[in-house]
Amino acid sequence: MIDDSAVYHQSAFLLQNFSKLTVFTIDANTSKLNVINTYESVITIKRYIAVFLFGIIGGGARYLMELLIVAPNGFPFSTLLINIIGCFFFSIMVDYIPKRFALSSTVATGLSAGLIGSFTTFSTFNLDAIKLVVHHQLAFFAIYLFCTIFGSLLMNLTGRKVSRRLLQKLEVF
Amino acid sequence: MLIIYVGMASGVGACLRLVCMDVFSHSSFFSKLYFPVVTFLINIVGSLLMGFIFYYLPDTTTNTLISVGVIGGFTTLSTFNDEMILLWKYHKLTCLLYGFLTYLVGLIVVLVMVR
Repeated sequence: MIDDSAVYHQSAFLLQNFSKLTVFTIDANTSKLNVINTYESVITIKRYIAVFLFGIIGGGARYLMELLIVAPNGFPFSTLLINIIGCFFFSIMVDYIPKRFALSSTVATGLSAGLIGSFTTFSTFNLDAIKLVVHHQLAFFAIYLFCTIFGSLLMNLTGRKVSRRLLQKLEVF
Repeated sequence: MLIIYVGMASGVGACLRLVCMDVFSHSSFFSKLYFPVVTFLINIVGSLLMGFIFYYLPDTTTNTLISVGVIGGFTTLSTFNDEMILLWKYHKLTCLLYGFLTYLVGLIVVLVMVR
C-alpha cells in the first residue's frame, strides 16, 4: 500500500500517450516502483480539434524554417535547428505553460502534442541523414547524428530546468 | 500559400498520431508495457513512408504535401526524447534500448528505400 508519507517522490507526468495521466511513486519502505493511472480522459472531439489547429501552426512553422534556412554545403541545418528548438519548447509546454496559465488539458495537449509534436520531425531527420550517406558526406552524417541525439536530449533537460526555475520564481511572488 | 497547405497537412498528421496513441492507450496489453511501442511504431512507419515517397515517387506538390506535411507532422522527435528522459529515471536499460532501436531502425528503414 502506498502511504502519502512514505512517498518521497511523486511526479505526475505523461508517459506513452497524452490521454492517460500516469503517476509514478516510489514506496520508501520497500523502494518499489508503483505505477498508478490516475484517470483516463475520454476521447473528445475537442482534443482533436485543438491538436489539428495547433498542428497547422507547428507544421507551417517547420516548412517555413526549412525554406528559409538553407546551408550552402548541403548540411541539413534547418532540420537540426527545428528538432533542437522543438525539444526545448516541448518541456516548457508540458511543465511550465499549463501551470502558469492554468490551461485545460485540451489546450495543453494541443500545445504539446499538436504544436511541438508536428513542429519536430523524425522522418525528415532520417531522410536527411541517409541523403548525407548517399552523397558520401560521412563526416557530416556523424556530426548530424551526434548533434541531434545529444542536442535534443540536452535541450529537453534544459527546458525542464528552466520551467522549474520559472515556477519557483512564480511561487516567491 | 503552400506553407498554409503544408501546415494543414501537418495538422492532419498530428491528429493521426493522436488516434494511434489513443488506440494503443486503450488496449490493455500495450498500456502495461514500459516500452513506448506507439511512438516507436509511429516514427518507424513514418520514416519508411518518407523514404518511399522521396526515392520512388516524382517530386510534385502533392507528394511534398504528403511527405513534409502529413508524415512530418505524424512523426515526432520531441515526444520520443521526453519519453527517453522519463524512462531514464526508472528503467535505464529500456531507455537505452528504446533510443538505440529507434535511431537504428529508423535509419535502416530509409536506407532500404534508397535506389
